[in-house]
Amino acid sequence: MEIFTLLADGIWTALQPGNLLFAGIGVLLGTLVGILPGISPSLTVALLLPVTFKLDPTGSIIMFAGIYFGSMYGSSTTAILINTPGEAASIATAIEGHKMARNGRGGPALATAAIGSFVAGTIATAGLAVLAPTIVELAVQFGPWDYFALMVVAFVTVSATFGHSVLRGLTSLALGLFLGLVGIDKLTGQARLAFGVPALMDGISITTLAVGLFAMGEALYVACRFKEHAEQIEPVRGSLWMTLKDWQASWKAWLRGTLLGFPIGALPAGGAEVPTLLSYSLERKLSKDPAEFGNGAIAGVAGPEAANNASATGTLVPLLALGLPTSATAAMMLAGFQQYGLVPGPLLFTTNPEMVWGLIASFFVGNLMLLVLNLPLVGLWVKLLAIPQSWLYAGILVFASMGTLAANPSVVELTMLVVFGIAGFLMRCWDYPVAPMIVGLILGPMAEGQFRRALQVSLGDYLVFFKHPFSATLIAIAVFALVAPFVFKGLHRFKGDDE
Amino acid sequence: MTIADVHKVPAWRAPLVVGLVLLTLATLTLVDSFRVTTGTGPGVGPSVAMKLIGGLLGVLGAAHLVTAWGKRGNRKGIDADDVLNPASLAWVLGGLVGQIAVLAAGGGFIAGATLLFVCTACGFGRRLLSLGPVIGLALSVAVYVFFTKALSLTLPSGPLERLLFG
Repeated sequence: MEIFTLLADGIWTALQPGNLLFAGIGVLLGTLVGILPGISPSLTVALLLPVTFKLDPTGSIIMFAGIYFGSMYGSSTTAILINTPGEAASIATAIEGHKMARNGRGGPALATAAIGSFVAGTIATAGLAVLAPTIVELAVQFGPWDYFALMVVAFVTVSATFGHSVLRGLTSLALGLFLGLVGIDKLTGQARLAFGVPALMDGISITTLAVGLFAMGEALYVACRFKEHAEQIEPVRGSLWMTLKDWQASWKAWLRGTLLGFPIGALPAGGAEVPTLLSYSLERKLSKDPAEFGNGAIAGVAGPEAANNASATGTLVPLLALGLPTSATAAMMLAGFQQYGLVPGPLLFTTNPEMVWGLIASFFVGNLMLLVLNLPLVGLWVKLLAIPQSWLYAGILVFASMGTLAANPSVVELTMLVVFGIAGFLMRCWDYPVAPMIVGLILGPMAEGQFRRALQVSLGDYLVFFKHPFSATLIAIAVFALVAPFVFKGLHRFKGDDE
Repeated sequence: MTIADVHKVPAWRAPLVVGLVLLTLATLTLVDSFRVTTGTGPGVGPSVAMKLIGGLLGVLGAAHLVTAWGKRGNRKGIDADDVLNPASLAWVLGGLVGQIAVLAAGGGFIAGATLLFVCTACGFGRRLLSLGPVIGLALSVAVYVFFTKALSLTLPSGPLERLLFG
């Protein structure tokens, strides 16, 4: 089994003291920022991207993975203790977990979330290690038409299928695609939509857009609804440990959540909110005591948390194997790769195998570290929740502008950040999802590249996308996914806030 | 645009504004696409994607206008939980614009970031002359030192940075 030797090498890479240190710092930083109320994992990754600018690629990407997992854990802690889910995928956790905390069972709620995330993350990483190389073997035979069709599927699922409104989702995507056009065309060297402004020639930076839409947009939105009142933090009372009954209620829920989360994440099927809500309703149906749900059922925390983590790992399958980001966080990870000139996809598995497998192995390590570091430190994390909003948002904005200036020390870049912040604010007010815009910006130019390559091969014949069975099928799926929400209105039961 | 405009509005206002923005962007993209020359050789040039995306923006813009027309006469209720606070928003936006102005004038990162911090803290209910300036200055200096010295990134420097760090 080649996978196992590669994975063993990877674990060796991840266990190097330096890389271990990066993973640890990443997990701690990710939790630290992710736990702050209102900050989602994708924003955490965007804010912390500059911290990794000067590290070596392997260490930096490993740190990144730690940030990713840490931020998800932090987000669920916030959901449990102050009932403000940082992202839609934590809503289920907030419902049951917060009730548990108010009943004096905050410790077990945090523990089942942490252990569930560990179990789900470990199983899903094993799934990733098996599935990704298989997909890579298939992907080697893909033509540019297949890649283009895959990206079209991703566009549709990210923007149209699972949001509130197809029109608003597609609008957000189209704005991202528009921003992706700005700058010098890589194939011909011609400037597009730059209007002679030198700063626009390099194109729009994905970090600037993400930090603007998420951090600035959020800060402005919270400011415009600001009223002076303190958040109610539930103190963690009682034992941290789960009782035998808690374990019995949790372990099946973890496994079921993992089984729901991983495939839905691996298919580009619209982020983590779908599997978490599916897992929540599944646990309620299977429960012997459904009345417990809504009043602090531990299975209602265990299942969705596992599903959330498994689906986040699942989104790394298309990201690593095909270079296809299907969530805002995955788009930020891709941006992290790109700053080292690394292009995830089949090629990376052959050119940088030690890095890819080191990364996959570091997911195991990161998950374990999360468990070992975070449960004992829970008292420290709770203190972070007590930071007043005024210092919190002021600090976030300083850090956001620092990140943008560190990437590109120019006033124009900072102005763009503020403009994107105002756009993000308006999008939040008017209920437009922001994730499709980010995916559009990063995936749009890639899709265009494949599109033009396909037409080069076919000598300008546009029917090339329908002549190959795989790409034709994918385009049919994309059309179906675009039309399906109108046909099955029932899907709208799963809608959540896009993040 | 003030907050009152965003919220206490007839329901058609948002789709109309978004629709007009989309149509403007569509026009920009399509006009610019005719300026870009198509390369020689097989395949398509850089203008095809511009035409496709411009077309998409145009269609979405038109759809927004149709939506706006369908909502004429409706009024959007204000969410009872939302206490709208234009003063806070103005403080935060003012801080951001102020930071840009400081940097454009060569004032350096620490001054700009401190200004942003203080304004934002004011927006969230702090008094101007309280702990805000102290925390803001300490944070900005710490961030500047950590990212320029420990991580050797470049941040804009002004008189204050040159005075403190040569």
